[in-house]
Amino acid sequence: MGTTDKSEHAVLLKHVYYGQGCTNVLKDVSLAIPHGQWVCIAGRNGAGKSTLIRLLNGLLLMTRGRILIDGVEQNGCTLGEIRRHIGMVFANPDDQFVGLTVEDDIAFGLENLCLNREEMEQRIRLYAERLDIVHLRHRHPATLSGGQKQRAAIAAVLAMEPAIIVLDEAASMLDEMAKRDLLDLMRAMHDEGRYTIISVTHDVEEMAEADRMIVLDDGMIAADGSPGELLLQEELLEHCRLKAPFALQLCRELKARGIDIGELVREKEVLEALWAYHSKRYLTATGTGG
Amino acid sequence: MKRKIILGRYMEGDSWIHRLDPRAKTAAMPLFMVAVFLVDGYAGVLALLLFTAVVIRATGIPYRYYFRAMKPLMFLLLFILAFHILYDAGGGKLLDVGAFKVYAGGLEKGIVSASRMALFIMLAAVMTFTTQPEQLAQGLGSLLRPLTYIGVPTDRLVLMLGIALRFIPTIFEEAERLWKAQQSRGLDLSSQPLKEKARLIIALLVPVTTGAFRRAIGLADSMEARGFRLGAPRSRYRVHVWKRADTLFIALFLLPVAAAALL
Repeated sequence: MGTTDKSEHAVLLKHVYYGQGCTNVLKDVSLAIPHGQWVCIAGRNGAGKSTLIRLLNGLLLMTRGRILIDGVEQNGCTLGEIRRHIGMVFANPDDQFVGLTVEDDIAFGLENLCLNREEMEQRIRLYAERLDIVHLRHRHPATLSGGQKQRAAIAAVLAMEPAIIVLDEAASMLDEMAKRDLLDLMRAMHDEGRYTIISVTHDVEEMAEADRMIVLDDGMIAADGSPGELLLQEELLEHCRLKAPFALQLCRELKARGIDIGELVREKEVLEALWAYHSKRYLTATGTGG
Repeated sequence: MKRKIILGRYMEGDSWIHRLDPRAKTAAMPLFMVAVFLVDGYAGVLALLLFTAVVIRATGIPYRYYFRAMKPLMFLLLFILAFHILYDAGGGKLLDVGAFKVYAGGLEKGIVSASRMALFIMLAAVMTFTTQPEQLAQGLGSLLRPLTYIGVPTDRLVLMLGIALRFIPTIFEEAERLWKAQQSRGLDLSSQPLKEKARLIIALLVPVTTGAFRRAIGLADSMEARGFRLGAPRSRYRVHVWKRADTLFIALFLLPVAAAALL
């Protein structure tokens, strides 16, 4: 079983419970996330989203069930190993900054991995370049903007080279520009194929980009499917107190005005559909297309 | 409020003092203290002031910054001076106006004591102006390293010190924001009696403290998630290399100690 788990699933949860006192925050959650998938976790406040991801790397310990990360069974002895597999980015960019400079902050995680100095230097250079924060290397966190701090936090996490990246509402304290940047970054990371991305979010545009959407409600999985399907369900959105993504709203508005390009949730898809629609119309009108 | 206090801040620079091993700078401080406590008289103080002026010169940071570092403590310096002048009777009488008498011995003691304090501040400023806080913390950690043998967790202390330094501006900022929020709701301290002032300050302290705890929990999560475990072995990114300049720096600070001890 162990070997098949390793090859198939980055994250595997089997009947996981978590409770404080007599109340169960999570009830019988079973979940399998294959390698390389981008999963977003939605649900209203208090649904258990943050609890669920904190269980993955043992920041909270489940009361019952099994959790396997990359085929490694989670228990007291394997926490250290599991935390090497999972990198976690938190909502508040300030509270996850340990070092006095960006460079030292990236080094903090690497020191925990007991890497030697050359290796650390090499990784700091590599990931600072990749996240475009080379010019910020020697800056104190208090002198950085929210977006810059979040980039530094992601660099620090990626430098540890984990296979699974968990983002806990990482964009929630950022302005619109920084949010877009972060989403672009997540897209790039996903395209690279190295990372399994699990992101807790309230942002429908971010959900639309994911491969898979899991909706939590009252500690249980209420829905699990592609965002393209789930985001169409108005009842579900309303229950999670979400608005339909802009692209979908646009499709519906266009349909009401007689331009039917279907119901799409991603901006890029809508753009492509509109081009296709336009050229089809153009071809029919000029009589050049079949 | 953080802009006013200059002591404790790092000033970017490229002097040879900036480049010294933080251990050398941390070790120089107690040596200097010994020298300061050994001097007792105008000549010694003057010599130490000259010595400090030379060191300050070498940092490449203008003298006025050092004076600004001393400014918040000016009141304390004047108090020390006044205390000795008023209460120390020794040597010849210099001035006698009614109940107010100044003696030469009192004046000298006052000036020497105030200068000692000023010398400390200036050298502390040299340290913090030329050394990044984390380096300073690590320098201190290295000097305390021998204490690990008697069970003092120096690594943990250094980490704690580093985190404290890291969060001081953040928490100041938060306090400032809370302060402004309360002012915008009509809080006016200046018109309140002292007792009321104290009560209102507590009203500010409570949210700042809870905020600090919230941050601490967040930080602990983040540190754990990044593989930190108390007592687990870690490697070090910042490695200090002891150079000849560092030995010379220490030797330089032995000079005033030797001179003060001999004189």
